[in-house]
Order: sequence, then C-alpha cells, then structure tokens
Amino acid sequence: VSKRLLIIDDEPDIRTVAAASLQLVGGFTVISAGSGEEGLMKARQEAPDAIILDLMMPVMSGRETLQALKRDPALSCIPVILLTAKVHGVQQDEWQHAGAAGVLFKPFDPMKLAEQVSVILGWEAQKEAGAR
Amino acid sequence: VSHELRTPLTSIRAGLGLLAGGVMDPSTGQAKAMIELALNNTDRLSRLVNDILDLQRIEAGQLIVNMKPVNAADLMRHSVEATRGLAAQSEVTINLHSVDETLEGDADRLVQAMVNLLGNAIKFSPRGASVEFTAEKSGRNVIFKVRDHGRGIPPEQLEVIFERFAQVDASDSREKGGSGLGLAICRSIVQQHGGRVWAESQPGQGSTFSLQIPVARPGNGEPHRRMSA
Repeated sequence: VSKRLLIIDDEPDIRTVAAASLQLVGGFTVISAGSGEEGLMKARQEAPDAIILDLMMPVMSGRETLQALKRDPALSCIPVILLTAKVHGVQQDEWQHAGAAGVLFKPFDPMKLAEQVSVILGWEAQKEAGAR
Repeated sequence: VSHELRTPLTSIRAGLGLLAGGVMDPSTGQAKAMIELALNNTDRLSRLVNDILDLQRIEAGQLIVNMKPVNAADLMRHSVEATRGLAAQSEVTINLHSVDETLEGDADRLVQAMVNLLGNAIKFSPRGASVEFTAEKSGRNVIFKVRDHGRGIPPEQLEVIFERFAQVDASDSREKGGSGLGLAICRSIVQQHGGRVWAESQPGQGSTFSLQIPVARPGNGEPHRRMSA
C-alpha cells in the first residue's frame, strides 16, 4: 500500500508538479490543499502518512499551520516536511525544534523529490512508479 | 524577491524535469498540460525579471534620459492604445477625457506609468464595466485620474500597494498576470518627474489612482512635442 502524502501550498502549479513528481516517480498517493486552513481540514479527514507544507502562504502561513498541526493531539504525530523558496533565514535546527521533520527547497528536482522525502522520513523509497 | 522568482522557476524546473525524466508519455494530455504549465510560468518569470530590471534602472536614474516637452493628451491617447487589447479581452470600456497641456518629461516612461494604472484598472474591473481616464490642470500640475469600478482597496493597503510585491491579495500575481512591481515602477517614474501618485478607494465600489505631473515651465513648453502616432 503506497504512503499517502498531503501537500499544502497556495500555488496551484507547485501543487501540480509536486504531486506529479511524488506520484509518478515515488509511487505515493497525494492529496492537495491550497491553504493552511484547508490543509488542517484535509489532515483531519484523510490522516495522511506525512505532510509537505509550504512556508510562505497568505492568511495562514506555513509557520502558523505547523503550530496548529503540532497543537492538535490528533495531528501532532504526522511528520511535516517544510517546503520553502527561501534560501536564507531557514535554519534546519530551528524548524526541527518547531516540530518539522525536515526542510526541502524550491526549486526541487522532480526526479529526486520522492527520494528526498523518503530519506527525511526514514521510509524505504517506493520505487514502483505509478502509471506511465 | 527570492520567493517571487523561485516560485515560477520551481514550476518550470519540475515540469520540464518530469518530461525529461521520461515519467510522462509525451503524447498524453498530462504531458501537454505540463508543457503548458512550464510555458505559463516562463511568461510569469519573464514579466517579473523585466520589471525587476526596469525598477532597478529607474531607481538608479538610468532610464530618464529624454526629458522634453510632451503633450498630456498625446500621452493619454498612447496609453489607451497600448491597453486596447487587454480592455477588449476583458470587455472593459475606457472613457477618455484628456486635457491639452504641456508637461516636461520622458514620454515613453510617462506612458509606461499610465499603462500600469490603466492595466490594473482593467484587470480589476468586472466584465462590461468602464474605466474613466481623465486629466485636469491644477495649479502648476496636471492630475491624471484612472477610476475603476472593481473590488476596491482596503484603507490600510492604500499606501503599501506602491511597495514591491505588496498586492492586496497574494493570488493577484498569478490570477491577474501582474508581477507585483507595476505600482512600484509607476511611483518611481512619477517621482523622477517631480510628481506623485496616490490611490483612493471605497472597498467594493472601485478605486481611483491619481498621477500628478508638473506642467512645463514657461519657455520650456513651446513648441509642443507631439508624439508620432
């Protein structure tokens, strides 16, 4: 059974390419949300195995979404990987302290994204790709 | 700026990377959609890079090189012509009421500033609406006004929208096709001309952007430099 990932990013095109990459290369099942609020709702509904969370989002930022996820007893155990376009100002230690499992940077290599996610989460890479 | 640049770059890099990586059949609709996505984001990135370079040059004082007497009505007419395509596509009518006054400025840059304001007014207008583009002499200045009937701007945003990447709604850049730098460029151009630009709005009832440019000093303004059509 493939692992289920929830991507939370306000940019629809980023959601599309990240989902395609994780599905086609990694064989993951991907659920998407376009805002922090929608992400929290889908996390409760779908109980994903992990969450990939964009840091810079309007209204409810990635930082606020992470805090809300970690405050909720039903969601706090879901590992969260942060996705950011910022090169400076993101200290891995800081985010691990805030409860994130790791940080990935934009632009990402779509052929390696699934592997990077698996490495961060300690999962065996799911090699079997989805439909070609 | 890094976030604004990296966002479209990520979509381009990932979209093309998936195609090059051979995980998508090139003949499928999914592959075609990915090419389209990369192309759209290339356009978005191009607009952004052009505007960033433009703003840098303007702020460094490198672009205002052609200060000459220019006719206000000519500037307005050229600005309307430059936005005619966008207006038609958006089904928005521009009502022009010009004034025959001579300013001293760089005609291309002043048109660029006016096109920015008109472009915004069109993009934020509902279909079938009109945009009023007027001018009047006020003392030693001409005040150009661009009035739309769009969603308006919250009072607390009226100043900050002239800052870089300060759109009222973060989705405006991708949905309205702007770079988030248009008003910053407009303000820089106007300031280089000794003028000012400001916004007034009633949320839900539209916005008015005013652009004040000094008239040419006596002796500098004649003969009018009419721009070629």
